[in-house]
Amino acid sequence: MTFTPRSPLRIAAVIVALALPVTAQENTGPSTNVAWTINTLNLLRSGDPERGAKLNTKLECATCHGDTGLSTNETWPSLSGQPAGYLFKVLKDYQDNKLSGTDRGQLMAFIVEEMTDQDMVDLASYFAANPLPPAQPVTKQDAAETLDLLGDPKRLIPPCSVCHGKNAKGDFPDFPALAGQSPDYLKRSLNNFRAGERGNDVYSRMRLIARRLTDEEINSIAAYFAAKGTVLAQE
Amino acid sequence: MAFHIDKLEKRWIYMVAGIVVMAWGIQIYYAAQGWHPPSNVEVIDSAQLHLASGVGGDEFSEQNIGIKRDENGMLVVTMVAARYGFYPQEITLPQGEPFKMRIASFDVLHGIYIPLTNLNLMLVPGYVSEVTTTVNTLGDYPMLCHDFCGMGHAYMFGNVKIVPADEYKL
Ligand code: HEC
Ligand code: HEC
Ligand SMILES: [Cu+2]
Repeated sequence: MTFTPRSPLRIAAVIVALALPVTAQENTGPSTNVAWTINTLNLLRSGDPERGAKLNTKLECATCHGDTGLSTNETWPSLSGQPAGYLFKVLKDYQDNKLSGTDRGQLMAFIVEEMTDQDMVDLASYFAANPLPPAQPVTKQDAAETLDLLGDPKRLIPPCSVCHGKNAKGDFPDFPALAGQSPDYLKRSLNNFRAGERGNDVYSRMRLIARRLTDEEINSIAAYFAAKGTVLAQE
Repeated sequence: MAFHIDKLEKRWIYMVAGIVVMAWGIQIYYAAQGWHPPSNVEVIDSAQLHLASGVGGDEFSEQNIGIKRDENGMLVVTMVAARYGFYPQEITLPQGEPFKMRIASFDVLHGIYIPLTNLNLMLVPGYVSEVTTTVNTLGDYPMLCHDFCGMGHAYMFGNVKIVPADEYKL
């Protein structure tokens, strides 16, 4: 079966794929096959944002992730403003079935199946060049703010900001931005890390943290970071 | 006018020149014998630490870190330092028994120091750091990073528990 660009058939197929029962792909070996060697860094540098913008339309990423990488709903992740290194790594991880422990991960694995490394860095450089998502109103989140700025040494949790960057805008090479991210996606990622359904973080760096968070903290984190885009947008 | 150097100045010049020559002498002497700090020089590909494909193989891959006994029965602790933690984050070791610590960095320069013990290593990316030591006093110790490695440096620590040797299980 071949899909033409933008074919409704393809979109229908992925939506059906979402609803299908999952046959969990066994993930063996290292958490990720991506390593930040000189070759990988050079590949990343070769990213062409203009081609990326075209691919975003041609491969229909825009249907779910938006024309500029701003998610079309609260559940699917925004890609706009993410560090290119993280975007490339996570696309590679989907392709290598490192994230196939959840049905949404399997959906993305299916979508990126035939992409080349060059496609991935082009798309990554396009989304990375766009700004982080804009404002969302929020109430003050004390639990999340404490974790973001101070962490919790007793539970061996470093502050989120030391890895995910000041104002959660992400960091080189592969620390994802959390600012303005879809709240449901933040919550789901943390729950998936905690349950071990998501395990593409090398040396379990995120899994170890997520396992020590309470449900209330995860809810607070989701609201807090989703609104962080506000701070950046005002600057 | 003749160029005049005071007697006292001359004395200082000779002293400084002497120190410089001595330092060169020491450097050349040790370099000629092939000595180098630290005691163990072993290279590893830090960027590919988690994979088997890099120089140094998969000794520090995710499945292989932790505590094991080698073929001589010696306890070997294999660890990775990555921004911002030591992995595994918490380890237990027996009191009074020597163990060998082998540790490598996954990214930037780190260090490891266990207070009240003589375990203190600099972790340079690209090299394996190794030391053999014994802890004789029971208790909980922190492992601290002592080389500035980034924004999370001050939060980079783990736990070591020293238990009586007869209660120790691997
Ligand atoms: C049918 C909707 C859909 C389409 C089409 C789609 N995605 Fe996704 N994408 C998702 C969902 C849902 C997730 C979250 C998956 C998860 O929870 O693991 C996701 C996750 C991602 C992520 C990871 C985000 C993060 O912060 O970790 C990236 C990167 C991504 N998609 C890129 C793409 C690209 C590039 C394309 C086009 C080739 C594309 N997506 C097409 C739905 C879609
Ligand atoms: C030791 C560094 C470190 C700290 C501290 C840390 N993270 Fe992470 N986090 C990571 C890395 C690395 C990833 C990317 C994993 C991967 O490669 O997919 C990640 C991924 C995530 C993701 C998934 C993002 C996405 O787009 O898919 C969320 C959500 C997250 N972290 C939340 C948090 C929160 C909340 C905190 C503070 C309580 C925190 N992290 C602290 C390193 C860290
Ligand atoms: Cu450090």
